[in-house]
Amino acid sequence: MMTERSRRDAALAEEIDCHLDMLAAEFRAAGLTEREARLKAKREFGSVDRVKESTRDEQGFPLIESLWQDVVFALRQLRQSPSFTIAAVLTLAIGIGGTAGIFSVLDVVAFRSLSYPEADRLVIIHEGLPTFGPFPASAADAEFWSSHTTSFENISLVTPAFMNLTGAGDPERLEIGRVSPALLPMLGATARIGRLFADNEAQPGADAVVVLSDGLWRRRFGGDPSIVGRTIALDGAPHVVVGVLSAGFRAPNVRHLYAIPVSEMVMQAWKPLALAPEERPAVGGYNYPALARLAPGVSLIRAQQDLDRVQTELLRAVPNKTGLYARVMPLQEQLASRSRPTLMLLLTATAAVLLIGCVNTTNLLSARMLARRREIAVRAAIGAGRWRLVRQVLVENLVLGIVGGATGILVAAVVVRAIVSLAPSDVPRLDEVALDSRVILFTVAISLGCGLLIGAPSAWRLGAGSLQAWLAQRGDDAGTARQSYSLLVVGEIALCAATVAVALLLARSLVGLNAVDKGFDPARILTAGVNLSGSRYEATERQAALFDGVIEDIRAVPGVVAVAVSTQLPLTGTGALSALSVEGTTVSATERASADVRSVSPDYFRAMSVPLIVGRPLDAGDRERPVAVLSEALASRGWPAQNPLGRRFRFGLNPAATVYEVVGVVGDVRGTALDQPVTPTAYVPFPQRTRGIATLLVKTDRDPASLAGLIRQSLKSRDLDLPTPTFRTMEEVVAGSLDARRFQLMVVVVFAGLAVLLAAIGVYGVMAYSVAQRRVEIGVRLALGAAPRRVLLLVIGRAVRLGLGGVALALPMGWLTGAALRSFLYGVTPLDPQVFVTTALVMFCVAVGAAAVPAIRASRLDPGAALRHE
Amino acid sequence: MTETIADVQYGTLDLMVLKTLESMGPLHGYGIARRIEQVAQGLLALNQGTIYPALVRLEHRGWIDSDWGTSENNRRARFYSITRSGRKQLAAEIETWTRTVAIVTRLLEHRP
Repeated sequence: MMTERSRRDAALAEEIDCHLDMLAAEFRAAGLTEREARLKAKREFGSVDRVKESTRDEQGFPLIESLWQDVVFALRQLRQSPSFTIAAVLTLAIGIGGTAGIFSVLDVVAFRSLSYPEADRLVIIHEGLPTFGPFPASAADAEFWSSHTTSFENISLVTPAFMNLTGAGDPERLEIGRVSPALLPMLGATARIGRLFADNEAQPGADAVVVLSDGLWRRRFGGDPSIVGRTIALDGAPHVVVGVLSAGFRAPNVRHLYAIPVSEMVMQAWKPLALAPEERPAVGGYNYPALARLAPGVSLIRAQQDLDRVQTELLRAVPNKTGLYARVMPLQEQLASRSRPTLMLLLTATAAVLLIGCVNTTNLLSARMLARRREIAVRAAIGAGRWRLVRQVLVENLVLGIVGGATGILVAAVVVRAIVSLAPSDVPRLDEVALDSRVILFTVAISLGCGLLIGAPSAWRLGAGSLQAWLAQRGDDAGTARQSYSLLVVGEIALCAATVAVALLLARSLVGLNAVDKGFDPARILTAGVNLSGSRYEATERQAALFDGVIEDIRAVPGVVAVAVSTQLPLTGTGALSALSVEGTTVSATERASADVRSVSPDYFRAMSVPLIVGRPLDAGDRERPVAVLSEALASRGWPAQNPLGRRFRFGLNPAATVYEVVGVVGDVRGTALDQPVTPTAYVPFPQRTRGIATLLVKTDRDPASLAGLIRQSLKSRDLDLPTPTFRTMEEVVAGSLDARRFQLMVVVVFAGLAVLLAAIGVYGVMAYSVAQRRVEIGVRLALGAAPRRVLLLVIGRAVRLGLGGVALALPMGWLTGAALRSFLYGVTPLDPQVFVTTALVMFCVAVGAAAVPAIRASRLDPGAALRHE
Repeated sequence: MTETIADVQYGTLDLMVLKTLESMGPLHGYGIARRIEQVAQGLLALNQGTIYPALVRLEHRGWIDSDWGTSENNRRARFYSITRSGRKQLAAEIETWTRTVAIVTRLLEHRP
C-alpha cells in the first residue's frame, strides 16, 4: 500500500534521478564518455543517500503518521495519570451521555418526522371560536370540506369509543377507534391478514366489522390466523373480524389529537365510523379530530386559504355558526407541541450540566499543562515546532473527548431507559426512541466539540504569546492563569445556580398545585370506572337500575359514608361541553357560556364534599325531571349578578331542546386540571345525558381500597358480562393529574444535583490549585505570625466571593430565560425572591464546603517546608 | 579557495535559491544549483544534492511552490517557483543583508 511517505520517497528518487541525468548530459556534451560522465555527475551531486536522508529530515513525517503518533502518545499520557483520566472521563461522560440521551428522545418526539408515509403532508384540522377553542371538527363540517375543497386528500375522522368484548373469555373493555375508512391506509397501515375497511362500510348498519390491532390479536386471540371471518361480540352486537393490522403500525395517540386535555387511550381495534343522524347535527357535535393529507403540490398556506374560503361558504349556509374558524396544522406539530416544551427544558438542563463538566475538565487540563511544563520544554528544545506542540495538545483533548463520549453512550442508554419508563404519557412516540445512528452521530459531534472546547485554552496558551516566557514561569507567577480559571468557575457556579433555581421553582409550583383548592375533598374515596356501552345499556333505565342496585349494596357496608355515580371524575380532562343557552337570551351563539355537563347521582356532592351555595342538591325524585345544579362560575356566567334559582335554560344551540331549570348552585370544582381555572359545570341527574361509561364513587371512613372486592362482586352479581371496573382512589386521581410535572421536577432535580456536584469539584479544584500556587506566600504569612484561622478564612473567603459572583451572574440569566420558564411555573415568578435567596444559600454552602479541604490544608501548612519547597 | 555549500549557512542558501527563482522564473533543482554556481563564478562549488533539503524547507515555509513538468531531456521533473510571500521574504532579507554589509564595512573602515 502506498502510504504518503513512500509516495514522497518515490517522487524524490525520481527527481534526483532526473537531476543526475541532466548533469551526466552536461558532462557528455563536454566530451566525456558515458561512463565518465555518470561518475562525475554522481560526484558532483554528492551522496545520494545523504541527500535523501537530509531531505527526509526536513520533510518530517507525513501528516497522517504524525497524527497517529500524537494519538498514541495522548493515550499513553492518559494511561499514566489514571486519577485525572478517570475524573475527566466521568465528568465528560455524564455531560455528554445525558445530553445524547435527552437528544435521542427529543429527536424522535419533536424533530424527526412521523413514521407515516409522506408524514410531512399529514395535517389535522381544528375548528374554533374566537372565545373558545380550538376543538375538534364536526362531522357535518368535515363532510362539507370534503366536497368543496381541492387542497386535501381524504379528510378522515377518528373518534375513540369504549366497547365491551364479550363471549370469548373474560369480558373486557376495549378502546376502539372509529375511523373513516380512508384513515388507516392514509397512515400507512396494512393488513397482515384480511383487509382494511371499504368505503361503503361507513354507513350505519354496514359497520358491524372490525379490524384488530396486532397486539390485541396476539393477546386475546392467540395469534390465530383463522380469526378473520369470525364474529366477535362488541357491546353485545356481532361484529365480523375482517382483518388484523401488521405489527409495525402505530396510530397517533388519540389523546394528543385534541387541543384540550382528554384522557389516555391506545387503540386496540378499529371500526368504521358510521355516524347516525344525531351524531352529525348541522350545528354542534364538535367531537371528531379530522386528519387529512395535503393534495400533491399544495402548500400549507394554500390549503389554509382554501379552507378559509370554504368555511365562509359553510357559515353562510348555517347562520348560527358565526365566528367559527377552521385551522390546518401539520400533524407532526400537533403531536409534538404538547411535549416539546418539557423536552426543551430537559435539554437545556443537560446542556448546562455538560458545560459545567467541560469547564471542570478544562481547569483540570490547564493545571496539568502547567505541571508538564518541563516535559514540554524538552520537546520544544529538541526541535518540535510550536504548531506541533499545539496540535499535540488538541489531539490529546480530542482523544479525551472521544473516550468521554464513548463512555457517555453507556450513560445515554441508561438515561433513555429511565425516561422511557418514567415519562408521563404526555410524551408521544416513546416507543420509537432508540440509540440509533443519528444519536451516535450527535454524540460524536458533541464529544469532538467538547474536546476542542476544553483543549482550546491550553492550545491557545501554547500557540500564542511567548513560549519562552510561559515555560520560564515560576509557580507563583501564574496570576493570569488563576484569573481565567476563576472566571470559568464563576460561570460554572452561575450555571449551577440557574439549574438549582429552576429545580426550586418547579418544586414550588408543584407544592402550590398540590395546595390548590380543588373544590372537593378526595380523602378516602374509591372510584370504579364501569363501561356501560352496548345495546344492553342503551336504555338509560337499565343504567339507573344497575347502579341503584349497586349503590344500595355498598351503602349497607359499615364505614361507608356516601355512594354516588358520575359520568366523569374531576381532574380527568374535559367532560361533555355544551353551550348554555339561557331562556330568552339575546346573546349570540358564539358568545354563550360553555358548560361542562356531568351526570351525577344525588349523593355525589356529599361524597365529594362539594359545598352547596344556594338552593338544593339533586335528589332521588329528580331522575326524570329536567333540572340541573350549576357550579358557581357557570351560574354567574349565565345570570350575572342575579339569583339563578328557578331560571331556565337549554343545553346547546337548538331552540327546540329540552328546557332545564336551575334548582341549586354548588361550589366550583377544578374539573379539568389543577393548573386550569375552575370548570363551569352543570350537573344533571343520572342517568340523563350519560355517555356509556360511568364511575362509581364510594366515600368511606376507612381504607377505601378494601371496598374494591365488594364493588366488583356487586356489579358481577347483577351483570356477568360487565368487564372488571378500573379502580383508583380519588387521591390517586389527583396525584395522577400532576404526573407530568412530577416527572419534570424529578429530572431537573437530578440534573441540579449533578450540577452541584460538578460545581463543587470545580471550586475545589480552583481553590486547591490556588493554594498550591500561593504556597510560598502562605508560608511567609504563617511564618510572620499570622493565625492559621486567618489563612483558613482567607481561602474560604475567596471561595465565597466566587460563589457570590456566580449567583450574581445567574440573575440576568434567569431574567433572560424567564419568559420561557413561565409556562412551567404555577404560582411563582421566575425571579421569585425566596427562591433566589435559597439558591444563593445553597451555592454559599457548596462554595464553603468545597473550599474547606484546601482551606484547612492551607492553614496547617508548615511554613518552613513551604518556603524550602519553592 | 572553493568552499562547499555546507560551509555556507542555511540562511544564505535560502536567499540564493529565492533570488535565483526570482530572476530566472520556474526552474528545476538542477537548474537552480547550476545557476547558483554560475553566479558565484567559481567561488562556490556545490554538492548539488544539498539543495534538496533547502528546497523542502523553503516549500514548507510557503516561500516557493512546486509543480511537475517536463525537463529538457524529456523526463518528468519538479519545477519550483517563487511565491508572493517568498518575494516579500527575499526583499526583507536583501534589506537585512545590505544593512549588515554597510555596518560591517563602516566598522572595518573606521580607523580610531
